[in-house]
Amino acid sequence: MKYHFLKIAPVFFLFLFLLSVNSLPQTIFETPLSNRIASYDIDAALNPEIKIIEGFETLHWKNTSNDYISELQFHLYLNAFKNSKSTFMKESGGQLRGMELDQQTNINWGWIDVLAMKIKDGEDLTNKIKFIHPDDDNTDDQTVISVALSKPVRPGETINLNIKFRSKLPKIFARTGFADDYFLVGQWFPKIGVYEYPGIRYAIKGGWNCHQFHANSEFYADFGVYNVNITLPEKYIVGAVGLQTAEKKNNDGTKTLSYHAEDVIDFAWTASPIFKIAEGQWENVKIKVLLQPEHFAQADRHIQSAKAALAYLDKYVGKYPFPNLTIVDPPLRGLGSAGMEYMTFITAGCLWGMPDGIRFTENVVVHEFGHNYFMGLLATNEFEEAWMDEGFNSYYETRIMDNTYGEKTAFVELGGYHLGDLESQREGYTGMNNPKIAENFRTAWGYKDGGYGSITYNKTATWMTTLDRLIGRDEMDEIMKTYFEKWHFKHPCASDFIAIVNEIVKKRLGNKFGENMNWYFDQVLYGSNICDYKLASISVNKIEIPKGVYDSAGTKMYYKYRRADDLYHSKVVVYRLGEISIPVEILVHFDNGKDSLATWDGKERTFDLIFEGPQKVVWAKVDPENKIQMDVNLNNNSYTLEQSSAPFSKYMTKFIFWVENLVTSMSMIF
Amino acid sequence: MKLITAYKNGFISAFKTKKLATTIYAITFLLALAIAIPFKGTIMKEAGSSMAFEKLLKGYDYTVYTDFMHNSYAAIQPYISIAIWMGIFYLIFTIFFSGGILTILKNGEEKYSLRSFWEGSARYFSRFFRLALYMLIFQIFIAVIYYIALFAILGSAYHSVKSEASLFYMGLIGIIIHLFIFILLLIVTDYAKVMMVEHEEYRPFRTILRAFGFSFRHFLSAYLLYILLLVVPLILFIIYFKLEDIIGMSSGLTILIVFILQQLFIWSRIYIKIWILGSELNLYRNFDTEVNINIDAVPAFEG
Repeated sequence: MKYHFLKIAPVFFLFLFLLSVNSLPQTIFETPLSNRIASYDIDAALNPEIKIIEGFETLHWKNTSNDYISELQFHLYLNAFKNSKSTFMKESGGQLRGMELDQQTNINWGWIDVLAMKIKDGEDLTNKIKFIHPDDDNTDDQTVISVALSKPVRPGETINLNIKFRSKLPKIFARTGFADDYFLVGQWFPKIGVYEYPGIRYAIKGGWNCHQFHANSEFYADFGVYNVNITLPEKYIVGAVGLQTAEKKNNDGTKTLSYHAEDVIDFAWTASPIFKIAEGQWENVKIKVLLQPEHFAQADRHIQSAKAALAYLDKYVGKYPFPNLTIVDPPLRGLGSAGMEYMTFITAGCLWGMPDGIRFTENVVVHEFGHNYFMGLLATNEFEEAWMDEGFNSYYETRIMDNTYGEKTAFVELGGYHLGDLESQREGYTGMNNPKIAENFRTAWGYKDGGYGSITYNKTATWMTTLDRLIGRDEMDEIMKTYFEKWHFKHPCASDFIAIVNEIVKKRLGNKFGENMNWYFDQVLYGSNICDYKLASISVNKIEIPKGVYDSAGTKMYYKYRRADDLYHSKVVVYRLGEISIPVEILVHFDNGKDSLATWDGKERTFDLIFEGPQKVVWAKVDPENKIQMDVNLNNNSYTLEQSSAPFSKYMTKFIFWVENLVTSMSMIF
Repeated sequence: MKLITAYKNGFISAFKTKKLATTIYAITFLLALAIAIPFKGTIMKEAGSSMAFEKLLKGYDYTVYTDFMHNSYAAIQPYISIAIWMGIFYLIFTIFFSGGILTILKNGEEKYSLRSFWEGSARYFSRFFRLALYMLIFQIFIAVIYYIALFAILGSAYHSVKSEASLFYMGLIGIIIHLFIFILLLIVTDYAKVMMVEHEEYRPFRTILRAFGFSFRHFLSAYLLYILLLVVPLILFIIYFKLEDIIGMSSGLTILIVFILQQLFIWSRIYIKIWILGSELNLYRNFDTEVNINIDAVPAFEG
């Protein structure tokens, strides 16, 4: 019996092995979805005590240009946190989104060293690595390296580089690092830049687009395939971009997890010993949420909002091609890593006890998932055109949130107070102290005196909404679907998007808005002026019957008019107070209950509408449907001759009540 | 039992002097109206002939509100400052009237007498003002020390707690403890006033010490009585809030109805203030009489 077992055991175990290997996906897509220019095989071992990752990567980089490329450029993003002299730390003052780095504790700093770089079976490039500073003169900044090649990479050739590196993770304050035993590992390996050549964005000749890491910038990379093995202590629960393909227990108390991702632009991962996992599904997409134990009761909020975003973007933009989505809930001290996006992997953020009526978590999930489209599938350059991902994404965030949770209640609905997402986005722009501070079209680090967030996110979302309402929702959806279809898995830029807008608007609306929509983008994207239309005045005067004497065939005659009804001359005046001009509608209401809708090209400083007849104008509204969300003051868009004092009486009584409560409360002190 | 008796008798005393509450309410209302009328004029001027504000009849509208504030905050801001200064002025007004209220309650007058009220107010104002100043300084001092310590504890705890839930509970407990201390100091202030009126005390500092002594000797009664009285306006506020939500303020009629409810609520707060003083006076007398009786009960001779 024992002999028979010994004979069949190897076969039996081989069968089990083959079964286990074959049951895990080796490829996700039968046909590549992208041109897979930059693919990485990475082995990484995390030492959680000293927060260091020992890494080895093989980069497979394909030269898809017609150029002979004799230099490679890489991002070393973690060096932004190396010391206070980096460009990032100088520009940010050591803080991001309100989170500050404790600079007094040495372990809090982060960095990355390239220990060795060698072409596979070829030249050793280690000594050819040098730091460069394409954006400023800061020689202390070490976030970009250049590597000269003795033998250029030929057009169509793929170069395979073996790179040994060591990454020290910073204490989390700006997206990546550690917080106690929680790790969110992003931008952690040497990442090759993007080689742009004619046909890609604005390139008129080939060259590297590889910027330094700035306080306000994010990232830009090519698509590729990632195979990543992560070794860390067994107790850690891990989540990452892509799909887990294997797990192996090692003899030293560690385990090695293998991940595989295809047609993505980045690889990030998380580890914590205390995650609690919740799962959901939307069509073929498996949703996994890694939550802090005290937030587990809010798992469903994460899943439902993710499903809403998946469904909406799938319907109105394009198909989400990946089979999975991982959502990470950071702990309290790791909130600097919240609200961040990687393809198939996002970080949200929530607080214990958050009421259902405050939809901060839902908002973050919807927004970060949306980035899978804008910056992910449509891999725009976040350094140079941040508005194309943040702004477009914010526009869709408003659509998804308001559609799912109510136009006036999407963000907050608590105790009589409510706030919609679009109105919040709009106010983020129109409520700026100086909305003219900068135009959209500038580099992320080009906002010298602030305004990056409001202009990039809020202003873009607002003018996208204005465009949507001007041309019509169906037309806007066709534009976005066409944009997605044409440019997904590529690197579109502003002119690519504008070309599609012009194409669709012309096709659907003819010359309704002129030859093209360039006039719109010249003002809202390339310009920094504001828009403000005002319904300035209404005057109504009775048309007097002519009196007096007139000559008729040599005879003096007296006017003897009789009218059955009085006639009136009504004048409605509209002002353009802002510098931006957009065609507007003007709705006029008469005392006979009838309405008249006029259109105006919006160009002159004033515009008059004259009406004569038995009817009197009672009220008028410019832009009655609030299409022009860019208008910085919607309250002056209407004018009435029969104003009700009820709203003011209401607020006067509230004011009285507020004052009385204040003083009687003060009197409780004595 | 003394507590319940004091609670009941306080209510009866306040009821007898409800016209006093109405007088004080009328002054309060007129003060608020004095700012509210120009406030209304200002917001109407800022709004011009716009129809946007009609949306506010249905309820709060974020866009209308924020656009208005962006464009007109400079015009509104002075009214907020005036309201805050008015709160400070009203505090002095309260100090003044407290003497009158306690005089009326002490004398147990069946009918509210304007003369007694003003006389009492003037008589005790100086002492009450000094008392209020000492207690206010003491309250601020305690609050500053307390919250510095609390924030230091929370700041330190931030680096070691597992989740924000722990911080929340620590903060909540901290606030509750301070609230407890704050209310205790309010109680001491009230009994100091009562003692000043009952015993014609002229020395606020000494009276404060005696009031502390009384409050700690009869801690349970004094504290519970105050809490029972504080619960009343809280309940009334919840009722008002629910009613306002149901009725709304979307038309002239509903605005009027809610306005009346608002004023009834304010009147009740002033009434409760008198009720509190009446109950405390009653409780003090019961305990004070007991002490006196005990002293008097010592037999004159033995044998």
